[in-house]
Amino acid sequence: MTKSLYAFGILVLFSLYSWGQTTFKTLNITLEKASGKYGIEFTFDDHFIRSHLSLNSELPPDKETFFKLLDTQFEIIVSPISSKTYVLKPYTKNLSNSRICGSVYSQLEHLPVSDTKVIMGNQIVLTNESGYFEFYPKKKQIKSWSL
Amino acid sequence: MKEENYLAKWAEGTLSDKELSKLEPKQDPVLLKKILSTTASATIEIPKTLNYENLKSRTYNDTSKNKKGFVLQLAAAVVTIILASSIYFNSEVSITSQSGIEKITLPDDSEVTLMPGSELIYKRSYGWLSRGIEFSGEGIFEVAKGKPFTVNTSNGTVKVLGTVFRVISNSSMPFSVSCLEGKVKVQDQYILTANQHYNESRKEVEDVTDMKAFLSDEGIYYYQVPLSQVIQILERYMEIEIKEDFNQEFVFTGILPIYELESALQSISLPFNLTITKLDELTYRIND
Repeated sequence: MTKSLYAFGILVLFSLYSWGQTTFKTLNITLEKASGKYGIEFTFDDHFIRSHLSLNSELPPDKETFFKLLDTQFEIIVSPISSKTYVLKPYTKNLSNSRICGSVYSQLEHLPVSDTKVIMGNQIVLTNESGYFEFYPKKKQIKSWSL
Repeated sequence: MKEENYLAKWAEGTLSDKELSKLEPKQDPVLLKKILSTTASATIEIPKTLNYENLKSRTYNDTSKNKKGFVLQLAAAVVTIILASSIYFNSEVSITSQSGIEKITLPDDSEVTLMPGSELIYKRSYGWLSRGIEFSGEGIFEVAKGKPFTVNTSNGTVKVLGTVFRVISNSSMPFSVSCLEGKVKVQDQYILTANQHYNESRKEVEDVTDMKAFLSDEGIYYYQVPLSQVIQILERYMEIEIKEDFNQEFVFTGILPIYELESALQSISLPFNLTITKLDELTYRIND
């Protein structure tokens, strides 16, 4: 009985550890899948794309619907520059007046915390060595936050 | 009897009349008599010191000298051949790609695609004991199977057996290696397998879900390369000047279409919300 309790306890601790170590897939993974599915190539700002979480649904059957999803969910305009290559342009990137930024500090040590993931809507950013983070501005109002 | 024997007997004067009649119709009798009269008065003086032993020893010494001379000549020839070979095989072959993309085949059938402004140097002994090259710039390597293949750059070393990979090593840009096929050892400690990328500035190996062919009909594929570096490549390839007027450190991923200037300029500006202005026929400005 005691052994079973120990085993159960270890299982619970392992689950909690795994949950804490959740890796977040970013939009570049979705683009790589879309590239393979639709037989097209993308050119993009790597920082911008990696600052967004991947699409939370299956890829649509055609590329036009996928392009619409990029527009509505991520505010990205898709422009063709050749028959197979498309450029991804974030259309609200220059809205500097609506920038959201902040810093993460440890309450125990009162020191900045670097490399911490901060999530807002479908954006995910890492804090720098000063604990600072900054999101790309968006037109749409974003309601959810997590750290 | 052979004719020369008749002549010898005739010269001694022991030839019978019958034998003489056989000889004379074939030979000029006047000429024969002239030879006979001349040789009869000729005398040969033999030196008194000459005897067989003396002659034998002299002949032996001459042969020994000849043998020594032959050995020396042979040694000189071998040394000359070794020296000449050493100079030849240690000499270097240098290949530089100026403005275009250049595809070269190394002596072991490995292929290297040199991007504009890149340089590759290898010794003529390449492939005999090892396969090593000196490299700077950007190159796509398709290495034939064989002895370890080493790419030495000023920023780091890449070792492989048989694979496809790309090295970017410029003085002003971070050193990076992308592996498309096989296995690559970077800086003697990081091992990259297919679809993995190493970046010197972060000193880490990263998985890439679907590494694209580095060079296709659409253009050159770059994975997480600073935009400034992509702009430099475009400048060399298109033989234009692009003045950079932005402070942010942008990172480019995707296809750089090098076959059409308009598309190339769009691909370096649109994703970053940058503006391109044409200053003159060969000069552009890119700013935010």
